[in-house]
Amino acid sequence: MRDYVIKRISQGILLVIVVSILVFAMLDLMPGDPINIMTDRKVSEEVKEQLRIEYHLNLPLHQRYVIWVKDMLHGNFGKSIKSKLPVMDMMKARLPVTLKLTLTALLVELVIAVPIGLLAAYKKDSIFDRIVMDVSLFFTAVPSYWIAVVFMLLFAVKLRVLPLSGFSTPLHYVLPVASLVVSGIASTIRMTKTEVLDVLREKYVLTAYAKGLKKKSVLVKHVLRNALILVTIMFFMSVPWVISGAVIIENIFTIPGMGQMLTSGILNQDFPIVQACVFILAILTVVCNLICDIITAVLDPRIRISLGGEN
Amino acid sequence: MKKFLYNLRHNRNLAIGTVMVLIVILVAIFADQIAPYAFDDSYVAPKFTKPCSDFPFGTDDFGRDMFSRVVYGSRISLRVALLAAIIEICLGVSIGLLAGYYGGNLDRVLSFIGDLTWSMPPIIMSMAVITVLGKGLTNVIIAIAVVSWASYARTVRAKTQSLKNMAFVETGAAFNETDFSLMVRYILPNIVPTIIVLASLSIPSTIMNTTALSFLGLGSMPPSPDWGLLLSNSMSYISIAPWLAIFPGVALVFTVFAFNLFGEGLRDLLDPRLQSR
Repeated sequence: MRDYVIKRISQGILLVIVVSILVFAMLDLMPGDPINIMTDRKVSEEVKEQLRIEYHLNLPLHQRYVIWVKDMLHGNFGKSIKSKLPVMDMMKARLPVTLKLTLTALLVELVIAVPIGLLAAYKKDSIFDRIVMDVSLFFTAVPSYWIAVVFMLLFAVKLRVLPLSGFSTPLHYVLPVASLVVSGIASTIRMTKTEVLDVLREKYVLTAYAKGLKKKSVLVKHVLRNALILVTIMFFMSVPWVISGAVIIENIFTIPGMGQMLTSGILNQDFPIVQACVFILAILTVVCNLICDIITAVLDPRIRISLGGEN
Repeated sequence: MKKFLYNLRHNRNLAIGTVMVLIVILVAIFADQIAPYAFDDSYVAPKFTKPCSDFPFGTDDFGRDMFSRVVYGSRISLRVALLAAIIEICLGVSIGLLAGYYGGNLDRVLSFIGDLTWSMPPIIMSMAVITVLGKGLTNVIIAIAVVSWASYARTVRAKTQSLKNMAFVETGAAFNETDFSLMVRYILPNIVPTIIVLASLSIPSTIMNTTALSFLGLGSMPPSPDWGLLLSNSMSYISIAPWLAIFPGVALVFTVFAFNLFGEGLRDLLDPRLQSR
């Protein structure tokens, strides 16, 4: 068990290192001189030379990487080329907004999706199951940004009950969160159903029925308990995906989060911002996947046994 | 083919999906005949004309016929899906074959790269790739392909591993066939159905991701009738011309849903074991 956790963590660290090298190398992978990309054509050679020294572009690649990593470990992601503000300060203002949006969306999604998936699995092949499956198949085809546009049209333009954009009051949360939930909920329902069906086929569920337990207590004590493991895992597994959905949603509702920062960073070719955003999102993804694997190993007796059997 | 027709009658998803996919393909092929105007003909009517019998989808801020634009947009979506799928298949299948056939350290390295790209959300990854390559639809296609080949590589690798120890491959090896010939002439033909299923299952997400990137302004450039671009343009006029937001979205959902149904139906037909995950 401990060996497995150590192995997974070291894999995660390796991943982060590889990602950091890739993100760092982004600037050098670009065709052309980075300074020319950053500056206007009219800028004089002297100023360019100064910038080159400021961004350490005169040093060889590996030395710059070391400097970059050191800076990052001290919380220094460099300065934005466009606004000249430290990227770290921008990040501090924007990351919480994105996290608030995504975590709210995820919680709402799970609270709705898991009971529906559970019921669909329990009443497999009933009318309820078939309707849920057909509707969710349809919703996997609807992109989040169109849902957002339709919601805006309905609730903000036609009915005028909710604000069109911004992120200041709780009412502003409703449409972005709803768009994220609707676009992600279909796959969560389908995943819950598949997993619960697996649990229902387990021998211990059969045993529970065989020893005369009531249907309800089997469902709650045996099936739901295992389904809760699944919910925790699904929560962490979904975080990166919901965040990448939020990148688009933030742009639609002009929410000042990390997604908007990343998009405008790319459009303005503002490298320090893109590097910082991609790197932080990548670390977040690696950490979530790691937590996911470790929770599975700790909570799921079957995996625990198979891991124990290895040593 | 006979089996396909039989299944068409007995597999509801496949039947509906095939019809819907055919509709999209036909619209794309005959766009010149279906669309009354070219996609960039401006002021064929006053701007923001409401949907009516002459302009069923209305007109946009340049007085361009939305119906024609949406019809021509289908060509972009299909071309994107096809090109991305070809690049993904070339990358994913060759990497999967090599990793599965040779095993060992090569497999470990290739699988690590695969897991790396697999675990990151494709939108974020492709945004990073676009930063390096620059904006534009071609670069978006490359970016999407570069970040999503891993699903092919994974499946092909697993299949190759189980196939390479089969008697027919060992017979080939006994006849001094080269590694290349064993991979391409013995193993690959047995994986083709799986690749077809994977391709049709990945088309919906490819279309969704590329339109999303165009929506953000990183892909197609105006006056392209890319559905993502049409939607992002509609945002500025959402309160005065809501029809601009509705129709491109409906077309997009129709296309993605069509390939979803088609892909799932094809999977049940060709490779039911893929279903478990």
